Amino acid sequence: MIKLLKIELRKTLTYVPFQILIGLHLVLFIVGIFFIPRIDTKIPFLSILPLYQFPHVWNFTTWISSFYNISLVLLVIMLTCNEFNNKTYKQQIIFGLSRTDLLVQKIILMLLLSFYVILLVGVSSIASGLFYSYKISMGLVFEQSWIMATLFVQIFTYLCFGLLFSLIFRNMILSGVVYLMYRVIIEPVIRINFPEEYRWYFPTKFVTNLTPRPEIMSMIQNNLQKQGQTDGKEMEKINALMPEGLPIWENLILTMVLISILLFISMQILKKRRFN
Amino acid sequence: MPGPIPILQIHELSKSYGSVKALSNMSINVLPGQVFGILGPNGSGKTTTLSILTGILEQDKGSFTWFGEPSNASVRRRIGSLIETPSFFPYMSLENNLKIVAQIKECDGKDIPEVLTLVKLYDRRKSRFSTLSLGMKQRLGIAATLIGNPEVLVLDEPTNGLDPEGIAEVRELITQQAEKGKTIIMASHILSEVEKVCSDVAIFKSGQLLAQGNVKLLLEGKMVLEVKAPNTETLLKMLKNCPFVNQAKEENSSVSVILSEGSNSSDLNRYAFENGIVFSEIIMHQKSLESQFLELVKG
Repeated sequence: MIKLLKIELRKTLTYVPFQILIGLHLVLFIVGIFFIPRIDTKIPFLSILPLYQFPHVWNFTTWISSFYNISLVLLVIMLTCNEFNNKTYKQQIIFGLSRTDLLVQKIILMLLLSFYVILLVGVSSIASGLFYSYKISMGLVFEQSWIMATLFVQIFTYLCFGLLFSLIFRNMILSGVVYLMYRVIIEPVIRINFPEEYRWYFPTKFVTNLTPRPEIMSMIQNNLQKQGQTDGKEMEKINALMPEGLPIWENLILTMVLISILLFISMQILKKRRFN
Repeated sequence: MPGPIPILQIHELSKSYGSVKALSNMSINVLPGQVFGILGPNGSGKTTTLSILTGILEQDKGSFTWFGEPSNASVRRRIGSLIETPSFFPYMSLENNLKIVAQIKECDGKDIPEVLTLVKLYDRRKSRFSTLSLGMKQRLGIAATLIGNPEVLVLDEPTNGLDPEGIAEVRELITQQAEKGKTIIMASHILSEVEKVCSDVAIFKSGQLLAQGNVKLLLEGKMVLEVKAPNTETLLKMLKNCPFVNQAKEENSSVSVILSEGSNSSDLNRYAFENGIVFSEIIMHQKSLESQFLELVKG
C-alpha cells in the first residue's frame, strides 16, 4: 500500500497540469469563501453573516465546497485517461504491478484528494467561524462538524464516478463530457419522470444531499426578526420551499452501496481491459 | 537425474483476436542461462506470446509458468521486460521514471545511475522522457529492464529504432548480460540478430511453432551444389532418382542440388558418371541463412 502511495505521489505531484488545477481549486475556493461575506455590507437589512458563524458555518462551507468538486473529478479523469494515452498502465503491469494495484493506486489518489478538501474546508470553517461568531464555546464550534465526514464520502463518490467513466471511455474529453451530461442532464431528466418519493433514491440526489443545502432563509429570518422587519408567518412560507429528503444516515448507506458498485465495476473493467 | 527446472514453460498456449488465430497450441521450454530467440516474420505471434508472458494479455487456452510458478505480479518483478516501444511518463525525467520502475520492482534504485550509464543516457538523466529520440527511448526501455538486476530479460525487438551503432551496442549489452548468466528471451524478425545473439531459437509462422532448437543446428547453412550437363532434362531425371540427393531444382541453365548428410560432391560425380552423365560444370557453395530461414517459414 505504501509502495503504491509513493508511486502515485511521484506520478501526480510532478505533473504540471495537476499542480495548476489543484492550485486553481485552492485559490478559487479561498476567494469564494472569503469574498462572499463582503456582499453582506451591500444589502440593507439582509445579513448572511450568520452563515459564517458557528455552528452553521460547517453546513455552509461544505455546501459551497460541493460546487468546486467538479474540478477534482475532472482532475481524476485527466490523470486516469493519461495512463491509457501514455500506455503507462500497460508498462506498469509489465514491470510488476497487478491490475488490482492499478485500481488501488487511483483509490489512494481519490482518498488523498478527499482529505485535501476536508482539510481545506475544515480550516476555512474554523477560521470563518472564529472571525465572525459573537460567542464561542467548544460545544458550539463543533456542533455540526460531523458534516465533514459526509462531505468526505460525497467527494470520494463523485471521484469514483470520474474514475469509472475514465476506465470506460479512456478519453479525457469524452469521459468529462459524459460525466457532466450525466449529472446535469441525463439523471435529472430521468428523475423528473418518477414520483417525488422515488427521486431521492437516484445517485446524484442522495449523494448531493450528503451536504444538504443550508437553510439560508431561516438564518436570514433570525437576522431580520432581530431587526423587526418581518413576521414569523411569512418566514414559515419561505421555509416550506426548502427541499425535503431522506435522513442523512440513509443517504450515507445508499452512497456506501453506490461506492462499492462503482469500484466493483471499475475493477471488472480493469481486469478485462486489453493493454496494448 | 532430472534436468534443470525450466525458467519458462509454455504449454499449448492459444490466443485469437476475433476470427484471427494469433497463437495456436504453442509449447516452448526455456532453460536457465539460455539466450532464447523467437524468430518469425511480422504477424507471426511473437509479440502476442511475449504480451501474454508479461501479463498484458490473457491467453484463451493453455498455461505457462515462470520459475516453476504460475505467473503473477511478484513473479513479473523478477523479470526485466521490454515489449514493443517502451512507454514512460512523458512529463517526468528519465531518473524519476526509473525510480518508479524501482519502486514497482521493490528495489532501492541505487543501480539507476549505473544502468543509465550502460545505455549512454546518464547525461540526459534530468531530461523529460518526451524530449528523447526514438532510439533513446528504446535505450531507456532497455535500462528499465536492468533495474534490480533481474534473473530473466524479455526483449521484444530490442534494436527497433536504433541506428547501426546503437544496434551493435544493444547486441553487445545482451551478450554481456548473457555472460553474467542471465536467461534472455528475445523476439526478433531479423535473422542475423538471432544468429549473432541467441543460443537457441523457436521459429514462428502464423501463430504456429515451426521449429525449435539450437541456433547452429537449426539455421546452419547447408552445402548446395550447382551442376550443369549438356542435357538438363536428363540430368534432372538422374538427380531425382539418386538415393542421396535430398533436393534437385532447376535454376536457369543449371540444377541446384542438396545432398543428404554424409554425401559429398565426389559421390555425386561418381553416380552421374556411372549413369552416363558427365558434368560440364560443378560449383559448390553454402546456402545462406536467409534462404534457410525462408525455406522453413515458407514450408
